[in-house]
Amino acid sequence: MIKSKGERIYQIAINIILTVMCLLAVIPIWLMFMSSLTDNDVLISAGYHMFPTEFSLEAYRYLFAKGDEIGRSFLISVFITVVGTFASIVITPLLAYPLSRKDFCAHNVLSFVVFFTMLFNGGIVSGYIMWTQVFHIRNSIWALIIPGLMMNAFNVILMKNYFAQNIPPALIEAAKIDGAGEFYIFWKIILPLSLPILATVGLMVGIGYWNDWTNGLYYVTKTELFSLQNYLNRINQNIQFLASSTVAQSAGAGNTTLPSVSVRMAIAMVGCLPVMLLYPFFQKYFVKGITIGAVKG
Amino acid sequence: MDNRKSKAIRLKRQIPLFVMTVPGLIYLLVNNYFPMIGIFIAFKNIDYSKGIWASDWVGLDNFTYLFSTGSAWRITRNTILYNIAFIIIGTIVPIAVGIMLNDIRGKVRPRLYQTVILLPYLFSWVIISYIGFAFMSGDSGWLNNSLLPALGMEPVQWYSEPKVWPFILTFVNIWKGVGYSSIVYLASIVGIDKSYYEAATVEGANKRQQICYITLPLLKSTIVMLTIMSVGRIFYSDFGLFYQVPMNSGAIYETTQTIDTYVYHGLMELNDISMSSAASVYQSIVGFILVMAANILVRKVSPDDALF
Amino acid sequence: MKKAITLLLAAAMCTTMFASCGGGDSSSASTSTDTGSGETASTGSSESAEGGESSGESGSLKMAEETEIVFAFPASGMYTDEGLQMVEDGVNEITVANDNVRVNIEAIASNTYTNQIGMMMAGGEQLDVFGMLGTYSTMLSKNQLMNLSPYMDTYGQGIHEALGDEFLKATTNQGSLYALPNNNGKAAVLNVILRTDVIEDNNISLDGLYQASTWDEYMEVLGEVGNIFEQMKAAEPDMYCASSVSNSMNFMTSMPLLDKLNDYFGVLMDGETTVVNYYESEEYAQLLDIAHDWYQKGYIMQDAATTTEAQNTYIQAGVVMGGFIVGEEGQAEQITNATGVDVTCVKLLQPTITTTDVNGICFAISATSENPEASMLWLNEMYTNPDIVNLLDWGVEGVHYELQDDGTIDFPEGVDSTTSSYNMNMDWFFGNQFLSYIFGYGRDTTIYSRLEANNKNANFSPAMGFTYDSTVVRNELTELSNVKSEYGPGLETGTTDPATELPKFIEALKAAGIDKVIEEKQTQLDAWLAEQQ
Repeated sequence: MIKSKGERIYQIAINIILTVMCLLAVIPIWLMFMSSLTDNDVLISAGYHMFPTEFSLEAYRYLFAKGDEIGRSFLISVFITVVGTFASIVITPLLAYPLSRKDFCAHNVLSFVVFFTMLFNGGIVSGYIMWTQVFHIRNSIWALIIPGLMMNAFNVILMKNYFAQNIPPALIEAAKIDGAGEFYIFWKIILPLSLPILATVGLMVGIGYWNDWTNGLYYVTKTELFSLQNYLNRINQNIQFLASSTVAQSAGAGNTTLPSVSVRMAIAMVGCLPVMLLYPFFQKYFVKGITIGAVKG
Repeated sequence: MDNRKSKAIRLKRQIPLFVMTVPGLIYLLVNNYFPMIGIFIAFKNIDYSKGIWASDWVGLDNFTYLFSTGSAWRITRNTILYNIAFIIIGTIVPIAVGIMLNDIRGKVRPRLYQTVILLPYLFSWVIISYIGFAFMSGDSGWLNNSLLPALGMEPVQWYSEPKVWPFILTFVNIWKGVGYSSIVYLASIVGIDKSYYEAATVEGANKRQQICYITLPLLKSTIVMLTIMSVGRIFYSDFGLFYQVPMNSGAIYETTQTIDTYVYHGLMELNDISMSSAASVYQSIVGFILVMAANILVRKVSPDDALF
Repeated sequence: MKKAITLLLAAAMCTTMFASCGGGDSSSASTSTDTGSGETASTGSSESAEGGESSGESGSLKMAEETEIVFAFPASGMYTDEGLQMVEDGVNEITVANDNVRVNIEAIASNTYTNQIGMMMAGGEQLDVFGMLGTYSTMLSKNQLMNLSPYMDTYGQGIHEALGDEFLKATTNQGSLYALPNNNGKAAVLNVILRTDVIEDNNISLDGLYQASTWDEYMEVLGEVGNIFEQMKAAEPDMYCASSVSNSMNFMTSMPLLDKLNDYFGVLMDGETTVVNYYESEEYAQLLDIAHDWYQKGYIMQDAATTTEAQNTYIQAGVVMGGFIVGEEGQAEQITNATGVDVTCVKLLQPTITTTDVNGICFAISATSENPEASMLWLNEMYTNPDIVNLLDWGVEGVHYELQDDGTIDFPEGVDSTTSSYNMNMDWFFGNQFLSYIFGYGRDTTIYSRLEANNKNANFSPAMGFTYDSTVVRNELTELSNVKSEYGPGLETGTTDPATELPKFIEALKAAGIDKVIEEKQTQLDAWLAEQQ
């Protein structure tokens, strides 16, 4: 391929900009990682540095001692992330696709019905009462999968917009003339053309599931059902709670030994490591994309 | 007669489309619409011995604190200004990054850049506030003990300096979100028909022209859509960003306090679910009015991009 | 189409409305084990044996049929299901035999605890007994607490004996008892913490420190603390003398004969019964000057106004060589245990016990409970039975702890704080702390007798037992608490200059309506005082 001079300058420029952005993303995380490898007392007294002033694996040893619990909560996290993301990837496009069809008589009304949920919410109390009293999901694995996370209006609208933008109506018409049913069109034509948006939404939902701890906080008290984030957050939340409750403090709770800053940093690293490692596999869908030209109607 | 028949046929043809929407609509109904009944809590004075259904109605009493207090103006102003800044910067930067990610050549680098830029998105606000503290702590922060001395500058008490926080919060918000939003745009860009660009190249269009005349127009509806959605949430603020990242430091409330953090903090001791529920109803109604207005406007200017 | 959808939605909403309304009934019906509850609840306050019968030998009461109750508490320690189950089994072994009561223990995440209790009650979930951390007055005003008076004499005799009359006043409202304060050292006062090695190496004398009982004495004592800090700072210029607790210095919020009346917005000073504005007082301004002076001299840590780290973290890391803590006897030992740094603690004030000191931690029966008798029996166990207390505090003997030869307890061989399946560490919380073992080999085991003596000998605030209802001033309180966190940390850690900031603070408090709150408190207090006559 022939490269013009302008093209070469452009390539250099965007490489520089993106490198700077990557550094901005990496440096804070590096600082965090190094903090998790620094002796806690030194961290507090000598401050945060880009290289450990006193190397220590104590934080990771602390987490390793809880290996059994962390291992199980890891599996729970994997399970809810896989199941939840899969369910989301099924129902979200199923709803988004008809909304994107201008010839679908209810597309405006239903779009509004979807969008409305972004504006109004009834608050945690009524949601809690419904999930626990009507659906009885308290202390079950469903409590971590169903409430809140499975589908949201934002993703539906994002997908709807993608379909409307990137799928030529002529393509659908042509398929219909060939006698294809709506479900066939959806499955064989629409979905294969929508891998980038499916991957985007899947990624967002997946990260949402992986990072969620609010469902566990409200609906799960059994520790065997704790997801990884629940487990790790329990440690952090207890720290915040004990440090801020003056009543607990003057009663003597203030003197409890709490996990240190470096442990908290280690917790953060452990929590996001799997996503960091898995992301590159997801990624090919964005980079490769698709060539619509080949299937243009 | 004929007309009605053809209408019936058309409707019948659309049944599969209706069927497709069923699972999603059921989920929204259960997960979002049923709990909306809870909005009535905002108009009650909860008495647990009577139960929430039988508690007394108090009209708009639970709302007054949102308007009557001295902070009302400040929290409203901060919430709106930050949201406007986020909408503008949060649109421009991710589009630029999305375009760059799409244009970058090579095998390894595109993947590397994408992965790395996305990293901050993986962290919760609590963790980010720890990282922020590692940088900005007055005593032990990296900025004060390494960077500023190296540059020959005086240490700064970041958490007591209201002036710097509009920049810090905007930066942190973009920093965390840019990876994800640029991928949203990238997904749209990748979906653009390559033949447009090929044709443009043949006709001698340069990069800037390609972006201005092909990429941006094709992203327009995505941009409009995302903006309308942000407008609907203009009275909301990300609690983690505004509460955790400034470590709830009182000295910088002037530039960091938003409606959500005010409500959370003010009600922590009172623990009054009616008052917090009132705040969220207020935020929703304002958002609703603004979105309807924005949508009507868009419908007039460019009907295809209207949300509904 | 539009119509159809609207109809559908409306119908759906009605259905849930009924479904959730009915939820309350169905849930209580579905907990099959408490079939006897209807009967016993209906006996109400009567002392008849329909709900309870005398078990003869011990003279205590029992439920006629086995009754299942739910007991919730804010869990701030680490535990696993297994560990909690073992504790629950251990508890039930005792309570079923003694009282015919089966206790379901719900450990709820501490930071959403109050919220969750509200939701459980609103949703009609079974909830019978729960603990509170500083939420007594708000929960009382929301009618979340059941009136315990009818059950106390019959089912809670032991509690009355353990707590005595004085403390129960703190949870009594208009003649009725609504909660039970936990029994521990209530006479907590301001202590100064000092690193023992720095004191000893430099021959710094602590003789000038004593427990002040008047304002002038307090000023003298704080002056002496300033002297000590000066010597310490001269000896160890790289360390600070004090960090903050909750972004304030504890000496700012303590004063002889001070009753903060729950929230510091309107307080009682000098043992008077006139509600005054604490922040506008001469005394507060003087304390601010001391704090600012100390901050400028480098005694107080730079980050004090914003840090979220615990004071102990800084002591352990050697950043500070002292500080302040509000607490009872044995602080030095606890801090030394937690940090590994040898410290000395000296009390600086004579204790004045106030309502909020007593009811900060308390236990109540939910207003929605259908088993008040069984709940009271359970509470009675928690205040009188050492086995129950130790199960809740430390877990199961032989598994989670072992008795040591000096009368303390400690982890068994091969178990430590990270591997223990029940490391709740909440002896400061459950029921009667004086029945608990002391955890940590070598610790002083005589401490409880001293705490009990202090409780008896302390002064009480003239408003001891008064709780005010904040409902009418809730708008003001929302704004006040925001104003306080805007100015409080800066001023009370000495970070900002009181000369310029204090007037702004006072003005902002006035604008937020502190005068209205003070007036309201005064009215309620006067009414309460008249009632006490």
